[in-house]
Amino acid sequence: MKRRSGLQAAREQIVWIAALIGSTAIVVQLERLDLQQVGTALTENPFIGSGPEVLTLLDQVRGTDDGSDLALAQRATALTMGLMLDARPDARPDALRAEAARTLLLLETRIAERDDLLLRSAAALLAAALTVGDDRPSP
Amino acid sequence: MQAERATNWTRVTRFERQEPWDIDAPGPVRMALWQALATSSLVFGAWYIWWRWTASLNPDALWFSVPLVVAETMAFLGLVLFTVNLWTPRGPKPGILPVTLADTVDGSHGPDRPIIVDVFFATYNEDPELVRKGLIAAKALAYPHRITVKIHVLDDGRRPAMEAVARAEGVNYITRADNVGYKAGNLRNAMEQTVGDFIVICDADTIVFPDFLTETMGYFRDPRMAWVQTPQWFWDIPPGTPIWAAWRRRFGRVGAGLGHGLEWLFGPIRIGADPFANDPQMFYDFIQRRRNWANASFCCGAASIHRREAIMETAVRIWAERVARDTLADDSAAARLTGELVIFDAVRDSARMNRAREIDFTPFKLHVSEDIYTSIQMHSDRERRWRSVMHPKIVSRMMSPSDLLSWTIQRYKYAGGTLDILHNDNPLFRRGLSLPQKLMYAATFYSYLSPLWNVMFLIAPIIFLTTGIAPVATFSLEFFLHLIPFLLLNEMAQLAGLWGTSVMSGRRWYMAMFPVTLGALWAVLRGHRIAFRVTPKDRAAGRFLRLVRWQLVFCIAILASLAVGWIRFAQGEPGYSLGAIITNTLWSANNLMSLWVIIRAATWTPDPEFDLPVMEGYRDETA
Repeated sequence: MKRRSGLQAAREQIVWIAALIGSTAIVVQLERLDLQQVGTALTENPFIGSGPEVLTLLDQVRGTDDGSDLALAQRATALTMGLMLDARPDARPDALRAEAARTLLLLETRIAERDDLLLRSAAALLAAALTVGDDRPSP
Repeated sequence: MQAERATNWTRVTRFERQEPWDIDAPGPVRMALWQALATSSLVFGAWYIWWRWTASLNPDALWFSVPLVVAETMAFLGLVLFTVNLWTPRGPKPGILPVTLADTVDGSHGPDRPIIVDVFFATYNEDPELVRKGLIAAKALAYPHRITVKIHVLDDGRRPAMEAVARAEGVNYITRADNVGYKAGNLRNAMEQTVGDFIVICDADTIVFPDFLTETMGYFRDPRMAWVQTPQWFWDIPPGTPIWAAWRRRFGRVGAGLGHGLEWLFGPIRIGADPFANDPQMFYDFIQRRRNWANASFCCGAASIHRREAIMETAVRIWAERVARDTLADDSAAARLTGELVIFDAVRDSARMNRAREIDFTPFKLHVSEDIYTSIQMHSDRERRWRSVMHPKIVSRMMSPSDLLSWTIQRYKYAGGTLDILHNDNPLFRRGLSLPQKLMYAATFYSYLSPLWNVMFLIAPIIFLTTGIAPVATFSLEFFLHLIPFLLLNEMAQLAGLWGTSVMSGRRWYMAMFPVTLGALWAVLRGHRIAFRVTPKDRAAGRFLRLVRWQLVFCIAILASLAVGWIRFAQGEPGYSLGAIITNTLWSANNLMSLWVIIRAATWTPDPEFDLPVMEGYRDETA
């Protein structure tokens, strides 16, 4: 009788413990999904198969830019890819670097407003690509 | 109906059976588990608090961050003290029942004789017929050896009807010309007119069981035992409406069936049971009882038995100390006034005599919380080293407050009285108390400061949800990894350590009564008398929403903030991450559930089918 009455008295506490565990599981899962999303955004090209050329990719990304963080990160990633290619498909490589610099500035402004892992990662890659470009001898 | 219920105990609560709780008797395994979990919880808690201070503050919102982390730190300190309080249930055991007075004292106290016990019923304006029931029960006190039991009615109301009842029952009637000192003064007046070796304290509604003396007198084999407190069990706590009955009223037979099904799964479910959380199982069977090892369980008034010698000796000692202290102050004042370096002995003696006449001699400390104050004084008597014990068995019963106004007045006085002691005669600095005793009393007094940080816990999620400003650097996984182990271990520890009582109910009320305690604290800090102002409409209302106005305000604010927060989250506004919104939603839900208990109590009315038979059953009792 003591055990049964003890269980009855502890019902609410058991539910509370379950809620704590459940909410923790939700947050952990959300964090995992968040990280996966970041990884996916950085590694997957949503326009894959649409055009092998980086220039084509850049045009597509610019064309579908809706101002969101994801679109900005994709644009930054495409610019990074463009800068990292040895062959400059763009007839005006300085224009590409200038666009990359403008995009990096925009990224940094957004990051100052909200610290987003995706934006930070994209900004870091783009900054690194710009630095590499600075080290290269000009054609 | 009660007889039918009694046979089906699996689906009948002890409130319905009008039986007290099962006394906690933890085995060594459960105690070891409790202590291990509690220690782990405190270690992880300390780690969490350290991380909060060193790595989690929001530098852009320190005005918010710092107060919250201070509140968390204060709450954690309270948890440490609570853990110390609950550490172990070991304590003194009663000896064999004393036969004569010589079995209860040390050394010679004159010719040996049977023990004399005075039973005091302190009353003021209670129904004399109610007191009569207590008197009849007291006359049935049993003891296997020759003993003299004298019963006294201490009537501060000076009522002819009460005197008539006392005379009819053949007990002594004592009254006085004034009401100085409230109950303490009433008791002192009675002590001057009685001679019992031991004194049983009863309230007007106390019904002692025949085994009260046989359960308690054994402790007085120890000549240093000053008093024994027993649980104040309320036998008339509303049991609530069974869920099957509530749903039957609303949804008919289908509802009743569903209700029965739920109860089959989860056990008895009662709506509105113990609406004022009056059941004191947690307090007596766990908190008070586990102070026994430290000799720190304090007197709670009714249902206690005291050694007269201890009360009088302590009173004399304190009176003498005060006379000496005030005389010294007079010496200094006289020296300043006259410029004399030395005061003549004759002058000093005269001043001392005047002081002795002026200073009241108070066996029970004249204070609204005379019980705990007197206990502190006795515990700090290093010369006599008085002991006390909380005896776990229920050997009496009383009636519980049945409306929120009565409850509020009672809690306000407890809070105000205790805080007044903390403010004016802090036991932590009192000479004579041992370290364990100081820690135990610290746990009690500290708990009355809790509204200071509980209010912060109520406000914090509201601020975040409405502004998006977080009190922590991030509500990310890192936050959860630091917090959750502590919370879970704490819950598991309390599950093990407090098995058999409802922990959540206590926590809810602890949070919900913050305005009462804050009000008492404010009164103490301003030096006001501890008295709760009651307006005529309070008594007439029957529903006491005015008493819970602050809780209502917070409920509305919480609900509004939840709406704002989720809307802003859905709109993708900065600052509203999913982790943060989930955390603060859970936090707000917990706060709402805590506040809801007292709001529900303010509007509670007894169920005529299930509550009233229990609450009014005393009317049908016969001797």
